[in-house]
Amino acid sequence: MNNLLTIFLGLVLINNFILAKFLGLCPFFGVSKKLSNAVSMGAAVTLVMLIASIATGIIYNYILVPYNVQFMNIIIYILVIAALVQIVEIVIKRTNIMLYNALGIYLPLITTNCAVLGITLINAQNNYSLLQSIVSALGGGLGFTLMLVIMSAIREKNELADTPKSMKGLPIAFIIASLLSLAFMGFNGLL
Amino acid sequence: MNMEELEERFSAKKFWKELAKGIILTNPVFVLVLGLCPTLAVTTSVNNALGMGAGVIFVLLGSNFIISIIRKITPGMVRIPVFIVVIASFVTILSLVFEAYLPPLYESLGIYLPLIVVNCIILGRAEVFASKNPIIYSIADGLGAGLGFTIALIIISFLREVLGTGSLVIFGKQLFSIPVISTSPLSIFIMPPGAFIIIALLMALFRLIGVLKNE
Amino acid sequence: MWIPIIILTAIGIISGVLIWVTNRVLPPEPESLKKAEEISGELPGMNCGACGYPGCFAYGQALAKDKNVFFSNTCATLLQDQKMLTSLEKTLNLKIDRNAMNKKAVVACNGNSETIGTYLGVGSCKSANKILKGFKTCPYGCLGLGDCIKVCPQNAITIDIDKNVAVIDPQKCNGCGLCVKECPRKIIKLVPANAKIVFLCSYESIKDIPGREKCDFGCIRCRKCVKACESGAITWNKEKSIPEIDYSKCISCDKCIEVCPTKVLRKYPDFYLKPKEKSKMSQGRDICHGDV
Repeated sequence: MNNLLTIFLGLVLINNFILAKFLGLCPFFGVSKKLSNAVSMGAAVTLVMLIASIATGIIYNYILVPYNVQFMNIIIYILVIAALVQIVEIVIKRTNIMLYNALGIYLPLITTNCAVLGITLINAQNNYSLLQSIVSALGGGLGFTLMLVIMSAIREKNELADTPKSMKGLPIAFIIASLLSLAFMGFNGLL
Repeated sequence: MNMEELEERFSAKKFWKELAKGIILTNPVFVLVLGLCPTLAVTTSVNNALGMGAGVIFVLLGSNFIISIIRKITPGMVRIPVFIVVIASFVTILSLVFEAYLPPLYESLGIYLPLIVVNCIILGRAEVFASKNPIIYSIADGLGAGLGFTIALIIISFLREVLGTGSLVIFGKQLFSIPVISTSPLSIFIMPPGAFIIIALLMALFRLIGVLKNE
Repeated sequence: MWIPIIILTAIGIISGVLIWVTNRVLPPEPESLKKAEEISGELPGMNCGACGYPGCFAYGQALAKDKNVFFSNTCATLLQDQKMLTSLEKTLNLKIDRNAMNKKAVVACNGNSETIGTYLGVGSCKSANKILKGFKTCPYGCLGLGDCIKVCPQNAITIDIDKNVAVIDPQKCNGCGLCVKECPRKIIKLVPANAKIVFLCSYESIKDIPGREKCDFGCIRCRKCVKACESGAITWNKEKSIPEIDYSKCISCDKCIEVCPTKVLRKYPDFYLKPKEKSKMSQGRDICHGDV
């Protein structure tokens, strides 16, 4: 139990996907302009991370390890993730249009998102069991959503501020991310 | 066959043009802002940056080459999955090679080596260029984008390593060290916040140059 | 050696079969969604949000539900493109009166309004408007800090530095109305694209606030235009104390433009008194700092 909590908190606060591991930066800077978009995107990423972690966890523990072909994990994971995103998109589209409106446009973006492939690779690297993989996916997704929400709230305010012309847009967003990262380093002693 | 030959006839001028375009005009990192994850994560030392750059160039060349060959027999519907599988195969080859011959580099690149698969630069070049152009120019384009990426990585990692540790170490050899910084290094620069600051300032600099040029 | 190949092939096949199965097992796509997809294929796909929906797909869904949405929330970009418009008309089975729908935005301010002090705050009209109702003598004058410039998807808006007023290029404007919503002083108006005259003053209240009267360059309520108008297109709105123009009646005789003493009535689309040189126009709000 303690172990699971360590994995979860570690990924939310200390080894945050964006601030410490630099995973999923493209959508992070692209989608974090508005608060409402940030919540939807975060939810979509968490959902896909969770499903991908379960699927790849099963494949890793019950197929790759017994046959000793762990070196193929990259190519198999990317195939599985792409197929899963496709299936999730079909399911959401057919069953719940409201949900599709909220998450649908982000799903294609997620297929080639390094955060999703990243979490599955981290699971494989640390030899996590299925339960541990699920917890780490939840932690990673929650950490990603948390940063997306914080960042978009700051950027909404920042739009009104007087920024030098060459710093406007992305450069100032990077500076904000750097300050956030500095602040989150304070959690390092937590565990 | 005749058309094929005509199309693939080598033109040195176009080759260099495609090459230079990727390095300066459409620099993947500073101008297009692509492939940010590895750019920030592995630039803690110039050594890592060189390894990552070499890896990306290898994968880009390989995937652009193969995709350009199969561009005419790939149906449009399964284009993207095919590209991804090709890229993933090359990344697997790369990671096996690194693991066997450069274990320290393999260790320090960690999960960022397999993550080359989802680097937008590679899929982007495959989709935009290699799937539409003859082999020789696809190679030039891949080389250009790869070199542009590597140069950006080297600039960032140089600044981070020199400011963060006060010295520059490449392949285990210390090239130089700056007395004041090496005694009390600004270690923030090799930590994550430093990466964000450096890339923000470099990006602002690129924009400032662009603005001044226009005026 | 065979094991990796078999595993990779097997996983590929399983993924493919899974996608096929989900595709077959689940109920087919709802009819409305299919239609929405078809419609959004006809839309520009810019996701600019000018129609009032969060994106082209959401707009397509609204159109699929009720095609009359097109009249209440018109896609301005589509209206400019005859080819796209015709194909949408066909898909939706809709009749669109092109001339009546086509609109252009105009900043209804003559500029040059005096400032009541130096404003050194955040460079956005929204912020400036919150402090003492803005730094201009006229509470309806353009602040010239360019909030509208930022939202314009066509890059049609510039700031005239001489007069410190935003100017919308009639050629580039597609009448999407994003700037109309953005302007905190509500002084950007939509006029029909075939309008011949425009009225460049927004001072509406007849209750003058002391010290915040309308400027010397605005409408002075002389009502000469109403008298000069031959076709009866201009009437006097007593409540707002401004002339009102019925564009359908205007015969473009330009009499009102001649008599107007402060030149708030201008010819459209070439409503500049003298065409400005390009170098004097600026695309940013940065020029407004320091001397506002």
